[in-house]
Amino acid sequence: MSLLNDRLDALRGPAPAKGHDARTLAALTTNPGCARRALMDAAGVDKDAIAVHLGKPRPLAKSSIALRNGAVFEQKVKADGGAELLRLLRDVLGLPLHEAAHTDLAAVGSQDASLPVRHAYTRTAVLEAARSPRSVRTLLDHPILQLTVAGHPVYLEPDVVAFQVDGVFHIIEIKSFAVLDGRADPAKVAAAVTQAAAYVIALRELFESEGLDGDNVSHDIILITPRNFSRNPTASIVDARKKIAALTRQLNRLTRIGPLLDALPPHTTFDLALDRGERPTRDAKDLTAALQTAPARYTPTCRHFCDLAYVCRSEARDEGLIDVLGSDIRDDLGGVDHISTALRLADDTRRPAPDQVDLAAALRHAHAVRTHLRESA
Amino acid sequence: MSRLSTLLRLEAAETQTAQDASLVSHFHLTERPLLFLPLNHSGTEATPLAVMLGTEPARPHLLVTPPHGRPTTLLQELADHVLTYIDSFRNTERLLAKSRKPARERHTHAPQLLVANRKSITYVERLGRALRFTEPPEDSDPAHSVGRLGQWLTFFADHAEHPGSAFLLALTDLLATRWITGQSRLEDEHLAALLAWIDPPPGTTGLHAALETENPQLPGPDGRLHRPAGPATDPSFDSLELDPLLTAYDIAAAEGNTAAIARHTDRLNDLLHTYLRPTWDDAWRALGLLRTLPEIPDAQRRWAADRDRFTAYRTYLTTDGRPQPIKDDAVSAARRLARLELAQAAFDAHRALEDPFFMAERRTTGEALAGTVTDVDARHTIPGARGPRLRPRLTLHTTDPVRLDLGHLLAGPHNPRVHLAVRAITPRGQGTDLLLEVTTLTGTVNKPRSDSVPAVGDQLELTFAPEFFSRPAFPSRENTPWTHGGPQHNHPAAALEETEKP
Amino acid sequence: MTTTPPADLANAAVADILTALTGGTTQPLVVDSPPGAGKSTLVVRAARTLAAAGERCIIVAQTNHQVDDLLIRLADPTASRLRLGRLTGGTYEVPEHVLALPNTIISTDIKDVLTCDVIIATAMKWAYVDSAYWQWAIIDEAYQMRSDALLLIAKLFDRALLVGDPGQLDPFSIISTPRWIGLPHDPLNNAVTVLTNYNDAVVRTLPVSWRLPPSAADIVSRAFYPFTPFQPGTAPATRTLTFTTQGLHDRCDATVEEAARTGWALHELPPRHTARIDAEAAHATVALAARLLTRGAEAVCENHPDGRRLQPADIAIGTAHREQARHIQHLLNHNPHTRGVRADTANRLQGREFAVTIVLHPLSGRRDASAFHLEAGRLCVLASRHRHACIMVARAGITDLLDRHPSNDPVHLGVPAKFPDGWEAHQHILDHLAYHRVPAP
Repeated sequence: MSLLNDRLDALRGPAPAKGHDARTLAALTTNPGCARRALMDAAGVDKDAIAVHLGKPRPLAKSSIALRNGAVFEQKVKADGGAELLRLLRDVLGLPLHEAAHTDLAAVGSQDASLPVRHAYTRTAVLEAARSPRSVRTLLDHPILQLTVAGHPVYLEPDVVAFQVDGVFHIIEIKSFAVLDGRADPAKVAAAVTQAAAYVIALRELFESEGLDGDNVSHDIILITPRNFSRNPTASIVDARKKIAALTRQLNRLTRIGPLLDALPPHTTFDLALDRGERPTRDAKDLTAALQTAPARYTPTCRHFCDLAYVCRSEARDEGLIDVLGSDIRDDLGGVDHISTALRLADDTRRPAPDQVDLAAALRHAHAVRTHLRESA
Repeated sequence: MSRLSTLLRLEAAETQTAQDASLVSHFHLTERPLLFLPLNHSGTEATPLAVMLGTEPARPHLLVTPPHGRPTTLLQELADHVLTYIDSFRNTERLLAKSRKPARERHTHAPQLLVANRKSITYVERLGRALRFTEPPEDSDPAHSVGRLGQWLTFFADHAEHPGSAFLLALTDLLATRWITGQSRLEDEHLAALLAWIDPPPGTTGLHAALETENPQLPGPDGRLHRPAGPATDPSFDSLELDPLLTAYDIAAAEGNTAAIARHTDRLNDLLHTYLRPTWDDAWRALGLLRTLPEIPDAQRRWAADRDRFTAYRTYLTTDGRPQPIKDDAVSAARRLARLELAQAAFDAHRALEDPFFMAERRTTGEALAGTVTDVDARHTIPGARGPRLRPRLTLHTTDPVRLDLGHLLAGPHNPRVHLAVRAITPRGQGTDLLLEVTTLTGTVNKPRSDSVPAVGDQLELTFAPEFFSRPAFPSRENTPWTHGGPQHNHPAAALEETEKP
Repeated sequence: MTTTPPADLANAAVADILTALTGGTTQPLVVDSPPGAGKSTLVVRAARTLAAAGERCIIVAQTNHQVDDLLIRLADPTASRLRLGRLTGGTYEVPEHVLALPNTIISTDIKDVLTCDVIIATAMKWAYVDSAYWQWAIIDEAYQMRSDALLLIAKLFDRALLVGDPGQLDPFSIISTPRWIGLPHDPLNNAVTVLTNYNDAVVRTLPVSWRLPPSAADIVSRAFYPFTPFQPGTAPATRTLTFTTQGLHDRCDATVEEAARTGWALHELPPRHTARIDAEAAHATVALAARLLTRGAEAVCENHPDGRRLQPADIAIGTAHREQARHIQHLLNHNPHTRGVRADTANRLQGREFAVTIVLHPLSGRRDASAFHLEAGRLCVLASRHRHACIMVARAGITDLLDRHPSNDPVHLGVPAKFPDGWEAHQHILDHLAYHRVPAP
């Protein structure tokens, strides 16, 4: 393990490692087959800094105003030791909850406590609550957990609360998208549930490593969101069993980081070589060449979750890959990777390889239909 | 999606130039549509930050919510604008009674709302939901209230879901039917980038124009910033421009500095004007491009049906007038689904028969084929209960791949009401011979209708004939059966549905 | 451990349902039936039971084919006589052998059949009937019936027995709108879900699949019915498939022999991304069908203990897309050995049964896995139509494809999670097929 960590550290360079957050988890679960992403996230590389340095930053994804509104909402929910939160929990769980101990694990220790330190606090707090003989109610805010991804433990730090009542933990996610007439954007809910599922799995891992029953972590997650057009919170219970099962299976099947590292040339690094003023000094061409040793799997949807999206798009476009046109087009052209290849097959100036015969015939037909259409127009 | 459109997308990517797709318009575009560009306040649900709207390219109206204020004034102004626009359509025509329909009045013109992209359609729906239950203040005219605005926005949004209706259209959808770009469909949702592909400035390609347009922090080829067209604001705009302005405003407000407050309020207006104006101009440019297209006949037919619904809804507002319910009850839901399915089937069928591009697309998906008539037996008959029935037969030779079964019914633009049944499929040479039998409009043995039978040498394009099922009636709401929750009474949907009668 | 014989289990379940039917309860009855668990038999027995108790009942099926099938069983000359009515639409041509059934009135007009003990028609035809009323309706294939169709006919009866297979494909519409998601009466939902949203129903499960052989029942149960397991009705030795002639010892032979021996085979073509029509894979499905027929496959089962030669009509080829089905049907029709073999999509094979099915795997040759291709119901239909063996034809590499495309279904608040997850079900089936893999060529 330490050898693996050394290699990942070398890949990242001296910059501090970044933990998995909501976005990297979304990237992991929506594009698990991208080796470039897998390596960079395992090493905790700051992908955004790389994209900026290469002149292809992803446009800012989150508005400061939206973030602030979200933070205000979250504070409102958690204010007064979680009074509002408890009221909501009382409603959805149907439990006579009057109070619970509220512990903010982000505030534990010094302000800039490292992830491992905060993780250790979380672990202690969780185990204490789980082993307590009395039936305690605890709200654990900002817990840091560990999840094994691609054979490598990573820290999770999404904004959630773990709520323990009578020995059973629930994951609570506070989100700022609205639930309107009992309904919410299904993609946003799915993303929230995926994150929560990762948390459930991590918490269960922690339990089981201590010989406790993983089932003490509920598969029902609690989503706290604004209700209708107001900023008043509402709670919804979401059954996360499917996501937990799928994510578990997916984590089990991820290509191990080891083999992905082995495929890189020796001494490959994505280090930006920051100078004292934190300015990157790495030669852009050199960095690009290093990136290209780790194959990417670009899709137009990458922009929703990956900071490197514009870097990979530009690369795919330079190579003339069909990937830039979207997965529907790519599917329609199974067996051909390059735009020019498909077009030369269509206009019959390229001999199809044996495995391209069917597609070539279909493309030639489409070409003939197009010609007929233009002539008769 | 068809392989034809895939091919065109590849060509667009390689040549960096958008490719022609459909050369006709599938929707009626009115003389005086209302362009509606909303921007939402980030992190909130259906709370407009600003709206730019109007019917004339040179006269955009900008409505802005004051810094940290509530959008109350904006909404009232918005209601005034939109309702005045809707009220301006007054002329009606008298339609005489027809077989199943009684005589009725119908507006000769009707309002049409245009938005930049699909997300804005969803926004219209949300805004309609947020507003339509707003009670009008005392002593005010409910016909000019924010609640009434919500009802009309809901009316538009409901029709955006109705296949073929032209009340509320997204410009990116219309452009993407006309042209195919060399970027992904996801990227096509950005109006400025889509337009850059379609109509790049001289000396640059569609690809480069689009790349320059898509960065919200860098000026586009015309030297202006092209922000995402909404309804969500560009996050970098929020963080780098709007947020600092709001902070400055807050400081001024805390200090009670009225001059600074006024200055910051003006700046907010300027900021949002600068944000929206390029999209406004893009939208009108897009509309100009689209207006050059001839409309298919079905677009006129559907617009006439839209006008009927407009008339009926206006009548409803003056009679019952209750807002659309939040959710459909069981009967409304089933009736609406039936209505939508019927409209979708008719829309698809007409598009294939009236737009050569759609027919060509179907040829590449195996749902249509083209060929030449090589043989005709105009006197062919089949036995019938009262003597032989005329069923002319013809042979069509095609080189398209044939994915038909015996018995399938086909129709083509040469005479859409003539249906041809597939009777035999025989490979011949490099292609296939189809034996087809005319099953409709044949005339009788003694009085054959020769115009229903193609001639040898005719080039035909055929696709599956539209299947129209008559549907039995759903129960009334008062008779909702026990399986679906039992009777419902005095539901506004009952009167509303009358406005949707085809 | 003692195990109850499957026949006893099934009989007990059916007896329980029939008792509930004639008992005092007014609750609707829902019977969940896994593939081939005797749904039609139950419908016929329920109708007979009600008729014997003097209750008038109607039967609602979804297609004319299903109606005719049930009618033939109801008219069984060896059972007690029932007066049967069959309502038809104006354009439907009733097959000769149905026209010839005894004690059966076939008419387009309800007035002609009103006196019958049992009247049967499609849901669509029933929707046009009014001013008549029955105590009971038995609704077959209720999970394939859209709830708006139930709304049209619910006026005709006040008690209902709904029978169906919850693991199959959901009803279909050309309209996709999120408008009704989460509503108890979502018209795009199936009839059972809506009925049970509004009414406390008695829900029963048929525990034994008579169609699926032991080789399939276990894996299909695990992959697609995780919470309502069922078992096979036959012992492994009861169903055999053997060949009367020697093969050529090529890959096709290896595949059909594996399938005959174990009930499953994965005919795995070299990895390749293909367009929707993969000519090589399409040819493989047809070649496998031809090989089964030319080698004179003998099928032994409880109905034919002395064996029966496999006929073209005993084989079906299943696909995900209509385009593929049409392409393969075209090939089948032009091969002298395979004329009469049917190629169709999962949607159209629902409720059908064959001795052997050959399935063009929905993910074969694809670069991406869409929700359509991952849908559990689609794979379930394709993997559960057979009495003897199922042969999957696929390009290698589906496992990688699944790994690249994790389950990413949107989540709707207030809508119960639907199990199983398509992605997981696919994984289960692939894990299983790995043991029956025959690389080809």
